Amino acid sequence: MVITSPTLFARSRGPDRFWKRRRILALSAHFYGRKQNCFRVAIRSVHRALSFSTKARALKKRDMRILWNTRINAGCEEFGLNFDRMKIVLDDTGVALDRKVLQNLAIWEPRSFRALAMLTRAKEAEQGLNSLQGPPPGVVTRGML
Amino acid sequence: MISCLRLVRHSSAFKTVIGNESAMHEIEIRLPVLMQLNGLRTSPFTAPVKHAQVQQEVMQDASEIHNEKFTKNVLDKVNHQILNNQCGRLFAVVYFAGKQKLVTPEDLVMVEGVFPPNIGDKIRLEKVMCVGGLHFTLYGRPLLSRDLVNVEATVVEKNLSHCRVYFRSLRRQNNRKTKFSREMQTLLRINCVDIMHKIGEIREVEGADGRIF
Repeated sequence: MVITSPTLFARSRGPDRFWKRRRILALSAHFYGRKQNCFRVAIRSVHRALSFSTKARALKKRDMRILWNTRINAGCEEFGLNFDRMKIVLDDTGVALDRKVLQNLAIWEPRSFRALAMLTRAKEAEQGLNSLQGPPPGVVTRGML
Repeated sequence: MISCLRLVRHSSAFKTVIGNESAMHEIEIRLPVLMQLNGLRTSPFTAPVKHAQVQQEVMQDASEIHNEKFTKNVLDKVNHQILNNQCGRLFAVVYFAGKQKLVTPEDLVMVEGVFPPNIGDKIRLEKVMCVGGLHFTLYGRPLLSRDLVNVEATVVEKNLSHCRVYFRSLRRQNNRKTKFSREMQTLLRINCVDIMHKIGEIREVEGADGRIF
């Protein structure tokens, strides 16, 4: 939708019914059917869309967290772990990487992520948890965990 | 033992040793009890036990030696790569503006919200949580030493975000609220991620040293 006069559009709050409607119709320009051009129908769908987008900004944060958890869990399962166990060990040992970074490592830095997984197994073995197979080979803790 | 005593009882030799008949009788009664206690008592005349001279030797755990060698080997390899610039393109996880970011040199990083530095300012990102190269990764607990990693960035752009509309309405309630907000956005260019010295050395000062996590 082309707005012919931006100045008039910018001050469209007052009595001019045309520009007042332009404001709403500018937001509905990409809608389908009568929602696009018919003001009576358009304003309803524009309000609906705006309230959705307002709520979605909060929901996005929650959804991303769930997605990151899923990705990290998938990465952990490769090493017979799950994220709950890994998180406890990371908190214990003071590695404070957050989920966003961890999922990034799991995808793009698989060997760095593997190191964290091995760290988890070594620490658990030190505590005597989940360690029937003993500590993983190639991990030297020097008693500093 | 008792039957032996009975046999000896009437012999003359016995009378000369013990003499009294009633004393003999008493011994006969008490003997079984005394026999039981006999094993529990410690003899007052225990001969001193002589131990043979033992040469003590301190043995080191074989796995410990192996681990020490392994650790030294790994540290040497990492240090060799650091000294000869064979780490490849380093990445680092830095903590700034309340968020963790995984950055590499030449990255553009956006910071949202209040961020005082102005365009053209060069800043050093001091809270480095993790740094990694081609063949190794160093994790801080939670931060790496300030001298170890140098991450520098330049402020490239400061701008406002697009207009975000906060819209809330309750239908048929005559209740509607609209607000507009534009956040400050700052764009940073990461100039370099460098490891400054060898690892595995004990530094004079370590820890958070002035940084607040």
